[in-house]
Amino acid sequence: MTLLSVTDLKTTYRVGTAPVHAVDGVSLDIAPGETVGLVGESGCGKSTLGKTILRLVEPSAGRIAFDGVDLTTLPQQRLRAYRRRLQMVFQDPFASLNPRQTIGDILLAPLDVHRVGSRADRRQRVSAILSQVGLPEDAVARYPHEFSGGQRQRIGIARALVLGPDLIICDEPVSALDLSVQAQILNLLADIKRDLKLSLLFISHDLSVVRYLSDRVLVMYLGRIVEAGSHEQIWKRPLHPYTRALIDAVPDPARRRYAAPLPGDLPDPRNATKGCRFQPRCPLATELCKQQSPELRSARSGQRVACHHAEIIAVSDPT
Amino acid sequence: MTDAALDSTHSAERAADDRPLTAPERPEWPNVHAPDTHVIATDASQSRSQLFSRLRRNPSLVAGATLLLVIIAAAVFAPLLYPGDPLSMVARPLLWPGQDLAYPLGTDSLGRDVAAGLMHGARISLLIGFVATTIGVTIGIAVGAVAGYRGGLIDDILVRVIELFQTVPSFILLVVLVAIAQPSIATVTWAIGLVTWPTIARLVRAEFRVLREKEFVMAARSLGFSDTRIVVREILPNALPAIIVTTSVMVATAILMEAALSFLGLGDPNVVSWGSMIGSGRELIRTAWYLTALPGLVIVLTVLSLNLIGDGLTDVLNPRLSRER
Repeated sequence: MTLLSVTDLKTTYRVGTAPVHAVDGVSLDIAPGETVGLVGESGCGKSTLGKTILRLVEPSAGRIAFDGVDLTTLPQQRLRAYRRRLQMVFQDPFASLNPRQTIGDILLAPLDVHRVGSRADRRQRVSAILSQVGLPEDAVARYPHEFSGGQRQRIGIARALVLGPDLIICDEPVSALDLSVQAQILNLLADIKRDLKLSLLFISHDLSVVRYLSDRVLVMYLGRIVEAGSHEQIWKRPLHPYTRALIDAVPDPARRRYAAPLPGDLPDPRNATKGCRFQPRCPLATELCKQQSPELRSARSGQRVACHHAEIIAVSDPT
Repeated sequence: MTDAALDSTHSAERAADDRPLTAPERPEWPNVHAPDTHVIATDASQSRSQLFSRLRRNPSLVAGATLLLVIIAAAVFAPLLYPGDPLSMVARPLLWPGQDLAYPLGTDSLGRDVAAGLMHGARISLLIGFVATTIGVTIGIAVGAVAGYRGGLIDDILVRVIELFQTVPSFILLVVLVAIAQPSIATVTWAIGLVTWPTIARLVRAEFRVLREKEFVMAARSLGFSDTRIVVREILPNALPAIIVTTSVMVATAILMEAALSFLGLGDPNVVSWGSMIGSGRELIRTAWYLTALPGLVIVLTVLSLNLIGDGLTDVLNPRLSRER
């Protein structure tokens, strides 16, 4: 049973006259209570994917089925009812809170808009949420600028939780925070996930952050999913050369492997090649990769990969 | 105190702050307690009173506000000090200021009291200045908000309309509007409002375009807020400082426009106004220069006071200089 089922989703931005396919045919499923990590480098379209699922950015093609209902064709008025069940935690805790509203205003507004309970119920709900995310009760009368980055992100999480959603999309919720504060926020998210049985789509560029929370991991490169599997599989036995490069880039004193950095930068998505999108940077690229774009295929026990030469990596695997 | 409240759940595992933290090996980091939990700034009531004290300490704002209050007081007390029509002839014509103490600022060529004219003129100037600005700001905010928030085709159309108004010199347009619609206080006010709104519309559109991309607006949309609520509650309060600053300067512009219209004889002929006083005094400028100089000085002081207020408000409220952003 799936809570969210995204099929062949495409998001196209228009830059001047050239269309940019920020998300180019992504499919993913999230089960109730499951945490799915989405990893990829900056500019690969992972934030756009998250925003498209919430229809903060309009998709250009594909289906977003949430609890069996296709959100892509839903008119705004009916979509509003689903907003309660799908929430988002944003990357920048300094930009995601209205500087002219108190924390109380920020947390009460969603309840007012959706007409949840009586006034007293709403206040009670706000103070319950505040204590759940570890903020003092007197925070309601204060303004966002009076809080530190980590506390603001707690407020952001509280706002996402206040309507009691089924799925929260966390768009790099810790990448703007100090390392030690990151740990606190990740622990908080882990607690919330465990206590509330929520589904999370956890977007990050940092594999080591995603690893701690996720049941399953999706690796995204230039608008497409290139590898999917359990976090164990991805971390221990990556099949795609890009995933491999990402893992090698994670500093690890226990591992004596020489981490060769990927050559070059993420190419401009406007001049996408006909073949595999990773081919210009790939150490395994052959003529086949230049001609034909690999589809996501099943490799072993649920792990899926979009690479013509995944077997080579599997064989060369030290484990 | 907040620390204790925040950490109470983990107090057993709490590490001393001065001890170096070891790298975590497991998904749980019970040992990490960063200074995240310290409240940095003061509470809300204090920050609000801080704003007022910053307003009070700004010299140009205080000077401008004082000057404007004097002019407003003159307008308010005009009917008490000078009851009756300021356009009626009360004394010998062309009395110089100080010549007759009953008429401290002298009389004009028809024997009308200049002091009475100036005080009653303040009523008209301020009335037209503030009402016309209110009209202009209301239209400007409405058009600018829709254009900036909606974007796309609606934005293109509204921007063309704004540009249409701005390519015609606004004073020429004002003269045409008033000439068509018979000069009266109401028509002059509406006409000034109708030619000044594009300024505020452009500003509001620009502010809205920036603010609608902010993450807190994204968050509001993801929470299912209506567009009206997002515009009124989320975006507008953040655009307000810039609007307030521009408004004070717009009042000054409106007063100048009204004076210029009256000078040209396009003002309401039944009321006295600073502009019409200058207009009727201009033929005697060599012999009785005070008839143009005094109303001119009053206009300068009023516009100056409003510009000083605008400058002061820019210093205090400017979002780019304010610490809050």
